Amino acid sequence: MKPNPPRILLAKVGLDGHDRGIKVVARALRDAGMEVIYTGLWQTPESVVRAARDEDVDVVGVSLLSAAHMTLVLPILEGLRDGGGEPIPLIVGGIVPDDDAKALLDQGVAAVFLPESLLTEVTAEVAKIAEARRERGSGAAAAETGGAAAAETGGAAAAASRDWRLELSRELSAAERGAAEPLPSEHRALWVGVTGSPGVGKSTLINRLAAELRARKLRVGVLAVDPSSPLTGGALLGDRARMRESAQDSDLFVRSVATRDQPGVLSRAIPAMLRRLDERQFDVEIVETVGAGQADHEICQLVDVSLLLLMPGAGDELQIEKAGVIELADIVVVSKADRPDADTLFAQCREVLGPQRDVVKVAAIRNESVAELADLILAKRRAAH
Amino acid sequence: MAATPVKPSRESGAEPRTISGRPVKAVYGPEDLAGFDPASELGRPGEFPFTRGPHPEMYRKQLWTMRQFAGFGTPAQTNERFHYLLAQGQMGLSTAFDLPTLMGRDSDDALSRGEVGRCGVAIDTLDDFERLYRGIDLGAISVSMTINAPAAVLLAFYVALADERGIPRERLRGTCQNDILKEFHAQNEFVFPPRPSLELVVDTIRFATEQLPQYNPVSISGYHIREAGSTAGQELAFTLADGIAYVEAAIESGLPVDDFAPRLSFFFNCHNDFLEEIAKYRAARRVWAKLMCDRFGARDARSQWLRFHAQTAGCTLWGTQPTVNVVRVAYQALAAVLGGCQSLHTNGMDETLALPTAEAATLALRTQQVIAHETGVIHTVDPLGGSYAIEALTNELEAEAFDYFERIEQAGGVLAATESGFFRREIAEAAFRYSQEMDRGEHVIVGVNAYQEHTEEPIETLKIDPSVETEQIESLERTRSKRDASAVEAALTALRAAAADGESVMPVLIRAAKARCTVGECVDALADVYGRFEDGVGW
Repeated sequence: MKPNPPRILLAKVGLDGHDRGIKVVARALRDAGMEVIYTGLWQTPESVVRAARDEDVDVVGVSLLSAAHMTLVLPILEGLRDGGGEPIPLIVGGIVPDDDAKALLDQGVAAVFLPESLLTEVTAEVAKIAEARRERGSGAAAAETGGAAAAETGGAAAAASRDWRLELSRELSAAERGAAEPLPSEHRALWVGVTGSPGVGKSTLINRLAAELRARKLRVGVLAVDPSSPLTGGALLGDRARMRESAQDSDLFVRSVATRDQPGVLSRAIPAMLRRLDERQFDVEIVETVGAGQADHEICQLVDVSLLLLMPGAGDELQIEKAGVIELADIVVVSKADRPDADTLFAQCREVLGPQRDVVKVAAIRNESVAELADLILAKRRAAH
Repeated sequence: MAATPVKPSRESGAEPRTISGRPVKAVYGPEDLAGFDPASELGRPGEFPFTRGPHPEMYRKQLWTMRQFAGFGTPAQTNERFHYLLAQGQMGLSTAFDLPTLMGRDSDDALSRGEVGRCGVAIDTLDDFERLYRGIDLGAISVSMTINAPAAVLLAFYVALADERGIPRERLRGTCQNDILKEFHAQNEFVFPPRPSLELVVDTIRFATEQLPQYNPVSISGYHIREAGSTAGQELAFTLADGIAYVEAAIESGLPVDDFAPRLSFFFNCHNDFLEEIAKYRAARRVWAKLMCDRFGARDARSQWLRFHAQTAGCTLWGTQPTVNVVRVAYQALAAVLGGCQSLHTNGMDETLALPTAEAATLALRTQQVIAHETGVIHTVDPLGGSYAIEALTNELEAEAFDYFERIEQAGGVLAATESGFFRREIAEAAFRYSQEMDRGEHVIVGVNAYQEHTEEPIETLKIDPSVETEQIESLERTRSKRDASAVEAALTALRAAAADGESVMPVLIRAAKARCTVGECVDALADVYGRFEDGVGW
């Protein structure tokens, strides 16, 4: 297992939903020991470039089967070049006729993969491209910050605002590589932890919560944690796929984090990464855990406000009677409240937890009660400070 | 260059398997059908459980409908292709929409950039529909529309066009794909969350039941599930499970089963594995008949029989040696005919490279015509019925379907299993397994990983002129500037109100269509009430 695995961003660009190929490739790259960040569907060239920078990846891969590759790939290529340091290499997969493939390679695309490409070819080639980029980047380019590069080229205000993201992105990578840091005695932002079983709706809720907090002019940082394979060190980081709404908001920063050598609930680097976010003057910093359910109490000790999500119809009804994270969480959220049985689960929580505990019902997909949840979270800040 | 024969690399002694991983025997015999009662499990063609076909005489009485999916560029360009295909002997029309339309977005939406008219025809308003079907008698020819998330909107456009042309609604024949569940499992062209999406489908079923007696409001589709990488058994099981969900929802809304079930139709893939595919269609008819009879108490034979459209599998075609695709398509189409399809689309040999040229589409149509008129297979109904191998495979596929129904039931039913990503995970597993088998050289693909040629002439492909996008946007702007803005506003307000109150949205959508509201405006109004569904991730 490599201590610092290659990071690859995979994205579906445009409206095309054919994701068989990209998902198969994502799994193959993970099994080859890489950290794969999957943006999900319907990305624009701009959102891909931004995600690539925020995630500090070594390679970007986009998949298109809609014949729109010439229109959509070239702006991404340009975006990845434009900015500080070594450009991030771009690979393209999908149905790409020969002539177009040649044109894309001429323009600087690092590789084009077709439906007939073997997975072993794809993984070997991606590993090679990632390694080459790291070698090139380990010299002057990586040492200099994006800020310095932009200053030289006389970057405008827009470029400057992107540069802090690039700097932060690299600081977060350094925090991941570096030694664990202790928690600071105090911190500026409100730290919020979100936990709950896989599929309970953590990312969807965070997406809406972040939008709500942004509407209140608060700067929001998100660390979304997913597990690394203890065997290969690879990871599939898919939380971004549900956090698309505010993808172009300059005061929202989302970073996907693999647990790496701590295959439990959180990455060892989370305290250090929270500190880096804190130094960048965020107001609210949200950590999404892997979601190991009841065992997930580590997060409650780390943050200021912890949320435990439970959903109707998933057996969570049985969990509320048991000891564990439910005793520690500051707010219990009944998620997916648009589904039948949500009222039953809510009533059960109320009954078991008693009137002193905060229990709320939220239908994130309809944006129902998200504002109330935000009020509750922010009230905890006022109570604590 | 002499090519050496190629053998798939497989562990020696391992049983050969179908492309779906099902072990097959060298010889099948009576022992494989122990306890099998042909009278109850097969019946005669046209009789319960319809294993051998929905009609007693099948193609002797009526050939399948040769229906080639078509659509690209502007409505006028597609209209021209429609007239061409009809002149070549095609029997029904099938409309392919572009991605912005499929996703309920207008041509000038930011996310539509680069995709207008590329994979199908661009439709924004009723004016586009008028141009698309110009010179085509909607009262005489059956027209199908491949549209899902905004299906209610496009169906309303179709009805509005008929109204404006003075064609009685009861004469409209055709099919709307309108199968949103498989979008969540496989194809990802969804807009609203699963539950309101399902309600919208029920709304269109109810509308068609009341007003469009000859129209199929849903085509429950396994095609896309298979293209996303499922096995044949999964395609069968998940498609029929989706069918169960629609029937349950329609019954729950108060419709008697025999009022609407006769108008449900299906759409399956025809993949490479010849015998397994034939068995799949036969199993589908038997399983559906049993479900409709035993589970839903349907008494009308037309509610019990399963009618299906088939399309040859796009994912089996390759860009290398593309003419070989003609051969693949021919065998796939033959399997669909031997399996008793009611209509068929054969892919053009160039479809892995681009949309088909007129020549490629014609050759694909000719492939069907050869099967129909030269091979003689149409003269005997279900000619493979009674074959030990076919009947054994049919039984296996049926058993697999019922096993899956049980697992879906345990996962809380189709809707809950959709929301939890059960279907997506099952399909992704199968797709990944297949890719790994390809990597290990377990599948020989002629011309691709065997018998390669190193000097290949590229074939001509259809090029979509990038000016289509600007042309379509200009046309949209013309309609917008001419229409009555207050009528548009009033229709959209009424649409939001109907959706919020849980009333049928169809009458208001027809009104909105006539007011020249755009597809995007109607879908946005519905999304204001239903919400939008984010990406469903499932590995």
